[in-house]
Order: sequence, then structure tokens, then C-alpha cells
Amino acid sequence: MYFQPTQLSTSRRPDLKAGESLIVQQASVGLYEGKNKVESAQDGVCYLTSHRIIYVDSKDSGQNSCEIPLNSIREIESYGGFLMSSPKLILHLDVKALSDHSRPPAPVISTSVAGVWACPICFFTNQATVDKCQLCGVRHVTTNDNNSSPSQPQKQTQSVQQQHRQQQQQQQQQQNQLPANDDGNGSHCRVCTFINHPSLNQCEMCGADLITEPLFTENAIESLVIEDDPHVRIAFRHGGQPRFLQNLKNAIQVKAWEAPVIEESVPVIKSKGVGISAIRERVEQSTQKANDTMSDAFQDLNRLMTKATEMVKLAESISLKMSRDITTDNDKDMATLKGYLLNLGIASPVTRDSAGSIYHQELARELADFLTKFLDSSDSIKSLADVYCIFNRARGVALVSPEDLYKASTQFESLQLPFRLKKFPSGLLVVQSVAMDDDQAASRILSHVKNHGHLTALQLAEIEHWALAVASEQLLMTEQKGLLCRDEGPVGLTFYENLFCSVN
Amino acid sequence: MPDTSFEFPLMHGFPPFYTRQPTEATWESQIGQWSQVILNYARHHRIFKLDLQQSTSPGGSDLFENTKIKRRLSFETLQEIIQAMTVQGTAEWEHGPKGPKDHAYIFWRRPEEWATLIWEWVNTNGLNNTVVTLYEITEGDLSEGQEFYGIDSQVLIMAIKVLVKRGDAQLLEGNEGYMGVKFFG
Repeated sequence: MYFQPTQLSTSRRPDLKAGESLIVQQASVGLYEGKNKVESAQDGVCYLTSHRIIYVDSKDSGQNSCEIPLNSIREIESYGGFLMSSPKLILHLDVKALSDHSRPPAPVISTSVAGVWACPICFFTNQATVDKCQLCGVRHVTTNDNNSSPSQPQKQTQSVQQQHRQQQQQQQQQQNQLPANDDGNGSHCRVCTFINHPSLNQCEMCGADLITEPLFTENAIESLVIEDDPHVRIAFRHGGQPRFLQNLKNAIQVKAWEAPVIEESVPVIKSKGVGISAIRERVEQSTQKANDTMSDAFQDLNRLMTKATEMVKLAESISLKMSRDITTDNDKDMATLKGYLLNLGIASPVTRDSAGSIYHQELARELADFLTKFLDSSDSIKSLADVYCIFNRARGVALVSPEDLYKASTQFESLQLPFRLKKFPSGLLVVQSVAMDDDQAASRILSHVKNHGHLTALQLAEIEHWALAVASEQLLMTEQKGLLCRDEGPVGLTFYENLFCSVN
Repeated sequence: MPDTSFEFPLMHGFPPFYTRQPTEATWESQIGQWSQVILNYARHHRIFKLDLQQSTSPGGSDLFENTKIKRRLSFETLQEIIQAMTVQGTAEWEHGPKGPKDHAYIFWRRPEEWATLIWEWVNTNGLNNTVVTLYEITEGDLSEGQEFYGIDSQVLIMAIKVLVKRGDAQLLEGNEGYMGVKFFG
């Protein structure tokens, strides 16, 4: 078993980690381990992210979906296909890296699950996501005893097999201990010969750089004997293999999983010295960095695309700040509104390039994910035009066309997502949650009408916070069901409870 | 005119009652209630013939206009209602189903019922085998107090034609249309 279970979002798309972005996806793929078919994974969508290859089964996505980290891929071999045999990618794996992956690599820990660690020098409480103390710059020393560290949360999908893998890993690490000699008793400063604490990377006396041993030496990894060429295959039943291969090669070259998560990369790096001035310098640096990201991102559209993830993060942090700052009552609504708008960012927008033939399906899933956040009450209803605006606003980049949005929305039912596109007789299109079917809507409207005696579309729109067009369509629908009757009075169309049918 | 004023049903004060309902089932129910009101009203005020145009004009009729809620039935809607009543047999267009549809007879009693009433009246008064003018039936001393007293002449002729068909009477033509009727024994 080289494939590991993966986590999916509610609309059955991969659950991306912080700093991870979706690159490309391909439908109709099957998986092989070694030369054997994985029976449970023969028809699904294969996602390539900057960190992983994720397979989402089309039949039983909850059970059969799995992933493989990119950093475990040692070599890629392409097989063009012959007669009945479909094109395949053969991925030769590095078992060492694969087992390593059961604990997430240090920089890629998601911020939402991270704990804190106390700096051994200044006792400043740092977030687990930074590997150096934010106050004094001392390196965090837990890298060697990962298995016992509580600050490295394991994924919940851990299986018995993974535990077994961990045992293997422990054995391997024992071997690794021998060449690595970084646990010596302090490091001599080459300039002033002061013996510094081993966790420092700058001399406490003179501020000169100390030579730090790399935690894992190159030869330590290479000395591992890889048994009988472990590999997996991905079969592309309906094409798309060359495109996938190209993107995979790029992703492996970029090594996004090694890049630290954006926010945490900001401090420390260039700072010399310690103390108040250094802290101030760091704050300035982080401001500078944020500004750079912004100006860089807006330089041209392509850059904006690649920076999308970072931009959304920035927006999120701003909204967080804003909602924190304004706590007084009168501005509360404003704050929630702002937070609401900024919160809606979509980190890895699905694009036609990345999704190819399953573009509309993927878009539908993304839209469903987005709408779950947006339509807070389970019975909300929005006109497609509104959805179009809000959705594109949230995407920010890689805007979708109305046509694509419409096509994606028509897929809700076949993909069993909890939303429906509804077309009213007048041609008005709305997106509503499954729970909001006509009968339910009608009975709600009837109860509103009963409470108020009679209602116009405008009044109903105010009560339900619907668009006017939606409200009038819903009233007509309810009238059609015989629950309401109309009065074309001097002030316009008003709806009453249908006494014609109930009196008799 | 009767001294007690007609008591309108509750529906008469319900604003949607004056709007033609687009939903089929609701509309059918609305027609039913309107025709009921029209028949009751006509019986109360002994109306035999309805001028649609006049009664749907402002201030034309307290039946089709409710000044309290400021609603009035439109001419077109009333036409549709009367049309439905002709199908049910409770009304008839003055100029036949193909003529202009602006006047209609309202049958709060059907011609057959009128025929029966007249025939009973003829028998109790011993008018068999005599000739009676139409005026005598509608306005005569003998018919005073009868329900058909003051009946519209056209409706009366319809009723007598029913008797003719039964073989109980014969219409006598004069210079200006029908003048009298001879009842048989």
C-alpha cells in the first residue's frame, strides 16, 4: 500500500493544506500498485496539487479516495499505451520519503491545527508553524523527536498500516542517528570561541554566524537500500496523460512542499542581532513583504494567478483584524459585512486549463463548496445573476463566464451536490439548496401571507431577503399551487390567501 | 322593489374576488362563487336580464362594485363568468351564443321551472282551453302574487315554448311578434 487515505471536502474535492494549490485534474483514471490493479480505484478523478497527487473515486469517494505525496516520487516513467492498454504514468517511489510523509514535513503544517512551542532561550510562545523563535531567532529543536511531539498533529485518517510504517520509520531513524552529530554539547564560535547554546545560530557574544549541521545529511538518505523498486501506476483511460505528465514534472521541479508557508516565511531570516530594535526591524520587514506580494501580484494577470493563494490569505488576515478591531455595537454590522466579503476568497480557483474536460463538474463542486459557506441558512435562494457576481468576486482571478457558471450549475443534480438550479416559468434562474423545494417554499410563503393578511412581491422580498424577481416568482409559484390568489388593485399586484378554494 | 336589502356574502369584501384568477382551479372556484352571488342577487331583486356593459361601469351596480374596498369587476371578467354560466344553463346570451355578448338572461329559475309554475297557475285558475295574452300573464290581475309576475317577456316566451314542446300550449302570433297563448286541457 503506497497510497494513503486522503481527506475530502463536503463536495468531494480534495481538502487542500495551507500553501497547497491545485494544478490540474483529470477524469477517468485508474490506479495500480506495482503491477496490480487497485480494485477499489479504477474510475475517478486524479488531482495534481503542488504537494500531492490525489485520487478521488467517482463511485465511493469517501472510502476509496487516496493520495500520494509528490516528495516521495523518485522518478517518472511514461508509458504511451498499446492496443487495449491505456497510457500510463509510472511513478517510482522513494519508500523512505513516503514513510516520512506520515508525519507532515515541517513547513507545511496547516495553521488551523498547529499548537505552540515555548522557546528554550527566551520562553516566548511561538506558533508551531515557525521553526525559529519569533522573538530571539533560536531554532526550534523538536525536529529530531517527531514521533513524540504533540505539536505535530497527525492526520485523523491514520490507519493501522501507517502505524506499522511508523515503526519502520523509527528503525530507519535509529540508523540515521549515527552519522548525524548535531546533538553535541554546544557550538564554538569561530570568531570569539565562545561556547554557545546548541540551538543558537548566531553567536551570543559577537553575533557572528555559527555553522549549523544540516539535520539530515544527504548521504544518510541515499545510503538507504531501496527494496525491489516500489512503484505505482496511474492509467489514463480517457487521455490527458501528456498534460498531466508535463504539470507533474513542473510541480516536482518547483518543490512547493519545501517552500515554507507564506506567512511564516516573513520574519527572522535576514535579521541580525537580538533585542527591541531587531523586533521592530522584523515587523517592518513583514510589512514590506506584504507590500511586495501585493505589488508583485498586480503586475500582470498571470502573476496574479500564481499569487492567488497568498492574496486570499492576506485578505483573510485583514478581515480577521478588522473584525477584531471593531467591537462596538454600531459598527458591528459593518464589520461582519466586511469580514464576510473578504472571507469569501477561493484559494485555488478551478480553471479551464487545470480541469480540462471535467471543467464544469469541477466548477460545480467548487461552487457548491463556496455556496455552503455563503448561503448560511439552509433554505436560502439566490438568483443566478447574484451568484455569478458573488462567485466571481470571491474568485478574484480566473473569472468564469456566465455560460460556464450556468453549465456548472446544471451539474448539481448529477453530482449529487446539495444545491439545485431552478428555472422559473419566466426564465429566471435561481440557485437554491435542496431543502428549499417548491412545496416547502410555498408553505413558508403561505404562512407569511397569513401573518400579514396580504403581501406584495416587494414585501415578501423584504421579509425573506430575496431578490425582488425571486420573490415575485415564488409568489406566482405558490399561486400556481392554489395556495394564494391575486388582487390586481390600484396599488399593484397583491397576494392573498386563497379563500376561493378553502371556503368551499 | 323589495324593502330588505340584499346581503352580500363575505367573498364580496375580499379584494381578489374582483381579479380574474390565473390559476385554473382557483378560477373555477371563483366562477362558481360569482355565479352563486349573481343568481342570488338576481332572485332577490327579480332581475331577469343583465346589461354587462352598464353594470360593470363605475357606479353601475352594487353587485359588481364594492366601493368600500374600491374594487370593481371588469367587463371582460364578467363576460367570462356569464359564458361559464351559459354552459351550466343558468344564463343565456340575449343574441345567442354567436351574437354580441353584452346582454344576458339570468336564469335564477330555468325556463323549464317557469313553464311548470305557469302550467300550475293555468290549472288552478281554470284557464285551460282559453287564450291568454302575454300581458295577462306578466301583469294581469290573476297572476298578481305569482312568482312570474313581472317576468321578462323574452323569458316568458322561452318558458311557454317549453310548454309548446310538451304539447300543452300554442303560441299565437300577432302583428308585432307573439301576442297570446292558448293553453290546452
